[in-house]
Formats: sequence, C-alpha cells, structure tokens
Amino acid sequence: MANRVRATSSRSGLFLIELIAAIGLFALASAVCVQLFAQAHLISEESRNLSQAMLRAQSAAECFKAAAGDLEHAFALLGEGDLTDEGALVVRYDGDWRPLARSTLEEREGERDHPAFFQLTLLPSQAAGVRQAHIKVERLFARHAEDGTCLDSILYELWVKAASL
Amino acid sequence: MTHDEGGRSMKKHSGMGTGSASILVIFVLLCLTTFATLSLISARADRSLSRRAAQSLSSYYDADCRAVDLMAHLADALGSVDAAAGRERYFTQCAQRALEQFNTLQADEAGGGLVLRYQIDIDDRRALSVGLRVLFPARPGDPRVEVISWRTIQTGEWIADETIPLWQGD
Repeated sequence: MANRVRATSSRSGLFLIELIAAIGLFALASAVCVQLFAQAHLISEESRNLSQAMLRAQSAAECFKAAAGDLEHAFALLGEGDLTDEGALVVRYDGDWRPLARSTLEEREGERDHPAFFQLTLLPSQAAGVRQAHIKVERLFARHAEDGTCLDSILYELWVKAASL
Repeated sequence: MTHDEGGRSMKKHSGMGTGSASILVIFVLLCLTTFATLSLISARADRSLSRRAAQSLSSYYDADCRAVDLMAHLADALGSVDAAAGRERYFTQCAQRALEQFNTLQADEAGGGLVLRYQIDIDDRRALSVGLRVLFPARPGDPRVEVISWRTIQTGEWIADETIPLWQGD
C-alpha cells in the first residue's frame, strides 16, 4: 500500500515537473513567435502604406498632366484636398487612407488624437517652358500637434511635367 | 481494479499521462513557428514587390519628364520655322530642323503631313514611345505639334518559358 502511494506520488511529481518545463518552453518560444508576428505586421503595414502612397501620387500626377499643369484644374480633377496660400495642393488622409474633409480637420485642429495620418502635397513650379510639380506623400505624426504639426518619413515622391503646347 | 496472472493488481490510469504535455507543447510550438515564419516571409515578399513597383513608377515618371522636355524643345524649335512658304515646304523645313537638332527622332510623312516619333528608355525592358503630329499653323500663335501617341512599349527580348510540357492539342 505504501509502495503504491509512493509510486503515484512520484508519477504526479514527474508530471508536474514536465508541465512546468513545457510551460517554460512554450513561454520562451511563443515570445519569439510573437516577435516574428509583430515584425510581419509592421512590414505588412509598411508595404501597404507604400502602395497607397504610390497610388495617390500617381493619381495626382495624372490629374496634373491632364490639366496641362493648371493647379486649379488639377484640383477639380482630383476632387479632394485643398489649395493652400503657398500655391500647393494638399490632401490629408486618415489611417485607412480615406481623404479628410477640410471641415473635419478644422473642427479637430489641435486635438491630441488628430485624425490626419498622411499628407499628399503637390507643389507646382515653372521650368524651361514646361510646368512641373513635386509630389510628396508623407506620414504625419499628429500626436505632436501641441508643438505644431510634425512631418516626417516621406513615403513616396516624384516629379511630373506637363507641356502646354 | 484488475488482476493479472500473478495476482498483482494493476490500476487503470485516467487523464493525461507523463509525456503527453510535452508532445502537445511541441506540436503547438511547431505550428506557431511555422505560421510565424510563413507570415514573415509573405510580408517581406509583399514589401519587396511594393518597392519594385515604386521603383518602376519612379522610372516611368523620370522618362515621362524627359519626354515632355524633349517635346517642349521640339515645339520651340519648330516655332521658328516660317510657315509663309506654303504647307509642303513648311513640313520639309520642320523635318529638317527637327532631325538636325534631335538625332534620336524619326520623321515620317503621313497623310500629307508630318509625324515625328521618339523613344525614351524607362528601364532595360521598357520605353516610352511618343508620336507627335506637326501642325500647319494658320495663325502665328497656333500650336505647332499635337500628341498622337504616348505609350509604354516593351523593348526587352521576350523569352518563352518552354520548360513545362504543354498539351499541343494532338
């Protein structure tokens, strides 16, 4: 009887040790796997943002070309964004790349959780008989709104020219 | 409780035995590691594709800018050709002027008019092919050229992949 009790106790102890070792191993390996998943998520976000930035820049470039370099016409063709006092066309997007209306931006100006995440800027200029524009798509860190809008990390940029024949 | 031939008692154990936890953990970890690695590989492939697409688009717009510059220079050069000498002579002079200044151009006569064509390389496999029709100006301020084609063409050699045996219909 005593032997049986000892054997059962020994088996339970062995199982407990195995369980502890298994939990430890699982914790270690899952920490590595979670890091891999997190890295994959960040890379995926990066490529999604690059693709979206590229599409928006191309769309703006084609509007500029179709308008033969006329900014107001390009703005009408693009159908989103605002013309600034500096003579640029600016479109702001939220985290899901939806264009934000000016009214939304004005309402929430200065808030910590500002909805704008990305910004497209089309800045036209004149060079040697052709109209050209620098198109830039940037990430906009709106959390720094208290210190003024902080622009950083250019996602994509290109130059485009339109001839007015 | 059961009894074997020797009369010793054998207890039937229910629940998880020793080793089963290890097997389960190893299986779960293998699955987890496989999926994590696959998602990372897939994300990297997507990023690589996006970067190549961005590079390709930048190359296209670089070529597009050069093509627009060339077109503007061409329009300027043709602007000084005198149209008073008549339509036929005007087109001849335009062709001469264009070919003198831009040796990469090709001038063709089409329908009694003049068509100028040129190509700008985008990368080693693509080029931007531009076709411009020279217009006869009725008045001094009229446009001298109009775009009739502006397209991307394949310039690299196409190599057919014949490594896979395909059914030929026999």
